Amino acid sequence: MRAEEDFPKGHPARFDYDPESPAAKEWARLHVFPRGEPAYAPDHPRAGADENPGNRIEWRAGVDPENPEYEAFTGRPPDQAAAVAAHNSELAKAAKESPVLEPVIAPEPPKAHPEGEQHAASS
Amino acid sequence: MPRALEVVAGFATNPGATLTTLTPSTGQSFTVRGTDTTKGAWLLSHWAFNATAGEMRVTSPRLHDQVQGIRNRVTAALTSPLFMGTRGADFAQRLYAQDNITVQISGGAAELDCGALLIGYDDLAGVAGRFIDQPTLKKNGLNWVTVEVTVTAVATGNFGGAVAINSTFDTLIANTDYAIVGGLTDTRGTAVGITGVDFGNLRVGFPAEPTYRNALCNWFEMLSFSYNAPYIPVFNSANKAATTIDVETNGAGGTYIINLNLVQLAPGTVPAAAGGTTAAAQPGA
Repeated sequence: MRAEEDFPKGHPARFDYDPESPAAKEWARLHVFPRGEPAYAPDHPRAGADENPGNRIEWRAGVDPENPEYEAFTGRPPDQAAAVAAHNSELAKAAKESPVLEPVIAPEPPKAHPEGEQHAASS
Repeated sequence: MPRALEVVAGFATNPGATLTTLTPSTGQSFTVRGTDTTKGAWLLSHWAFNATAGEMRVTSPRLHDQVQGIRNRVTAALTSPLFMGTRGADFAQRLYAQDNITVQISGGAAELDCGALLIGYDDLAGVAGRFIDQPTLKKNGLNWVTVEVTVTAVATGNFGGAVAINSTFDTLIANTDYAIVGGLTDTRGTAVGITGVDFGNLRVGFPAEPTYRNALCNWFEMLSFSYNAPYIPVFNSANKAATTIDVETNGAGGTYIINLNLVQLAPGTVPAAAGGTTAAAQPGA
């Protein structure tokens, strides 16, 4: 009769647990996933196909996950983004606040444009 | 019915953890317009633009309570509506004329944090814009057309950088009505504003959020659909030079490329503002 072990070899709760032991490292390889549960278990035929499968990548809006240092939405590299930001900062100094308008009742729209001329762009 | 729609934005300077009352942008106020409290005024949406996560709180004795009222977490760098039915259904918060809405925000200790309210008025004495509802749009729409403008925002927390709707491309057909279905921005800010005589010189607007392009591309149409009321602004190209687009953002300023999605309307299908377009039901009804 074979004795039943309380925890498998390498398990942290086992009486002889040594994190540096081959058994502990193997157990950790199979059970510890600090970056999240993988789509396929270790040693699954597909597990080794991609060291960094997409389901582990954080997809932030507007950010290229392969180039997270690029500016969100524009994809500009950092030096270019900094230059544009500086340029925008200069433009902002010259920009004017919007005028405050007196609320009114919207006027009657002008006479409808004839159907036949509707594709004539205004000047 | 003299209907109006207005986006009111404001900012708080270095609020940090303190819920700080927003300073309205120049020429704006968080006091509900109008004098007749029996006329419907509705908080249709509100949102905030924080560089650092914080809280936004909208309170008034006329709302549920003046302690926490409508309080939401504001995540960093995401100008997302904190409520509003971009999925086609929502409940409008009733507002009352002359009620002074308290809008507070917390966030970073070295930044402008901004917030905005979108308020709809059923019947605002002395002010009226031209708005249609979604069935009217579907019945009378002819062609999609977009306008694209570049707006250089100011860094003061006020609306700024106003440019005419035809400032980049002047292709609108003369004397023709266009419905503004929605819009897009390529840069994050607080709000994109559109002002013109056809909107009663009030500023209609939407969140300046580049992420939610699918929700903002038909923002006004979804507003109208969600609340079952005419909230799709209509302007006539005769007024294009005086129909302007501007942006409110934080102290970083920025240059914004704004696209408005327009639908050309059949001639003569949208009456003047005072006549309005009948709604099937009012918000919250």
